[in-house]
Order: sequence, then structure tokens, then C-alpha cells
Amino acid sequence: MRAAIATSIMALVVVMSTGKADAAGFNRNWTRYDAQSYAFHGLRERYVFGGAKFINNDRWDASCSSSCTSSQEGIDCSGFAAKVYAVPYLTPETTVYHPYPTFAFYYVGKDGYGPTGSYPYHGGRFWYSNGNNRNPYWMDMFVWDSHAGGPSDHMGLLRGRNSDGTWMTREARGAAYGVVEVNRSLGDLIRWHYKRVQRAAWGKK
Amino acid sequence: MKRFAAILLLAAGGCAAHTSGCPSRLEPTYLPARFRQVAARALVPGGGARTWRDGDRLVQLVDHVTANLGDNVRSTKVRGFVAAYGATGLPAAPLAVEWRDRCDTPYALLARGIGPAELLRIANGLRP
Repeated sequence: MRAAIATSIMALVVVMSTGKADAAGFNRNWTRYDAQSYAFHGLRERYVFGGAKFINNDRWDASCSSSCTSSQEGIDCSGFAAKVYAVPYLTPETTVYHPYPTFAFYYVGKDGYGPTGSYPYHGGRFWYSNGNNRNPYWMDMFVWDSHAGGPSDHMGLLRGRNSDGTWMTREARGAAYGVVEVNRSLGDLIRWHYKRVQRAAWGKK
Repeated sequence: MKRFAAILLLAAGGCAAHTSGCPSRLEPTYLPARFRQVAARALVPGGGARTWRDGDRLVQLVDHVTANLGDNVRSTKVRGFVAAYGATGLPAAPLAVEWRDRCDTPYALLARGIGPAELLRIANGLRP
């Protein structure tokens, strides 16, 4: 019996100490340059509600969502951002995988890390936000939440700061736009209570 | 000793189990005439989908949905909750409304062949 208890305790310790990020194959070597390149490939491709795949050919191929043939594409804002961030793990541009809605990125845990709750690999330390939205950095995410003063549940990547102070984004903006580059003022982002979310770990180049 | 082992096992099970305790299944109390429930695959990723059709017209309710409509949306309320509706880009269901219901459970109601007013009427008629 003691052996059984000891085995149970050992199993519990292993379960509780094993990083779920590791279980998901989270790539700590994924660099900002990798993410930038991935996001660039997505530009001018088709937006589809619930979609998580694009074909890098700068045209809107036939649409699809959760089930796509090789010649169909479609991706929404959270699907696109997750793929660019390679969370929970890296998936090819043409692989359909959409594990997280936008608000999964907005509501991080008390320690600042996500995903939380019932999402795949919850407890994994894939992204981070400490609430400071005044000083975004290259390839941070901006995330809006309609329950927190945002205009909608929407998110994208902050590609870089323009000379006029606005931020150039990469985002799957909507069915009328596709995946586009938008210049957004930091003031507008803050006015809509955006959350600045960073990847928990970036590789170095 | 046996009791201690049982507590350990229960604790281990409790860690793995989904324990939200929140109802995820909403049922429509209003549907346009002649709509009947049919078996159909989910149009967007989520927990489960139920579909009602009348010929080429369709509505589909998806719970625990992970899709988002982007920033080209109109704000509204569904069942008293903040909601947004807009174009999906899906020919099979060009219009959808999305909201987070009780316990932050995200829902989407997608439609083909009906307008926003009817869609919102169906959505607001959903009940646990």
C-alpha cells in the first residue's frame, strides 16, 4: 500500500511539475523575425470567420473554415495571431488549427501568463501581459475585448512603429478586408482598452 | 491509509476534470416557420453545433466557439450580453452574431438566407 501511495504522489508531482508548454511543443526558439515573416506571408489573403489557414499567393482563394481543401483558405483574427505566435505550437500556414478565441489572449492568469481556464494546454506559459499598454514593442499583440471597453473582440500584431507615431499592424480584419496592414494610433488602441500581449519567450537571432 | 490514497486519487482526477458547472446548451424558443433541426457539420470550430434548415435557409448554433468576427462588426445585445454581428466570409453562412453567455461561454449563431433582424430575434429567443 505504501508503495502505491508513493507511486501516486510521484505521479502527482510529475503531473504538476511538467511544463504544459513543453507538452504542447511550444517553440522557444521562434524569433520575432520568424513571426514577422509568417505574418507577412498572410497579407492579402482571405478572412473567414473561424478559419485558421491561408495560402500565400496574394489572392482570395475559395473560402473555407474548419474544414478546407488544398485550394481553399480562410483565417480570422485570433486564428491568424495564434499561428503567427506559433502557439500552442508551430503549424504550417496551410494547416487548419484554431484553438483559442480572442478573449483567451485578453484574460491572462494572475501571474500574467496564458492560456488559462479550459483552453487547450491551459496553464501553459505561451503568452504574457502585465497590463502595461503604453510602450508596445515590435511583434507584440494588441487585443481588444468587447466586455472590457473594446469596440469588438479583435486582435492583431504590432509590426512596427511608423515615423508619425502610429503602429503598423498585421491583422485578419474582417470579411470585407481580408488579412491587411492597418496603421493604428496608440491613442486609439488605449482608448479602446487594448491589452498588450507578448509572447512568453522569443528565440534570439 | 486507504482513505489517504483515495483522497490522492480524487485530487488527481479533480485536476484533470473540466469543472465549469455551467450549462452550455441553449435551445431556440423562436425559429422562422418551417425550420427543422437537421444533422450537419459545424461551420466553425467550437464545442458542438446544432443546425436548423428550411430549404436553402439555415441557422447554426455553435457553443464554445473559438471564432471571431474581427473589427468590422455592429454591436448589439443577445440575451442581455454584449454581442456583435457581421459578415463571416463563409458562403454557407454569410452572417453571424457572436456573444459570451453565462460563465463566459462563447456562442455564435450563423445564418444563411435570413437577415440580421431575424437572426437577432432567434438569438434572443435562446433559452437554457
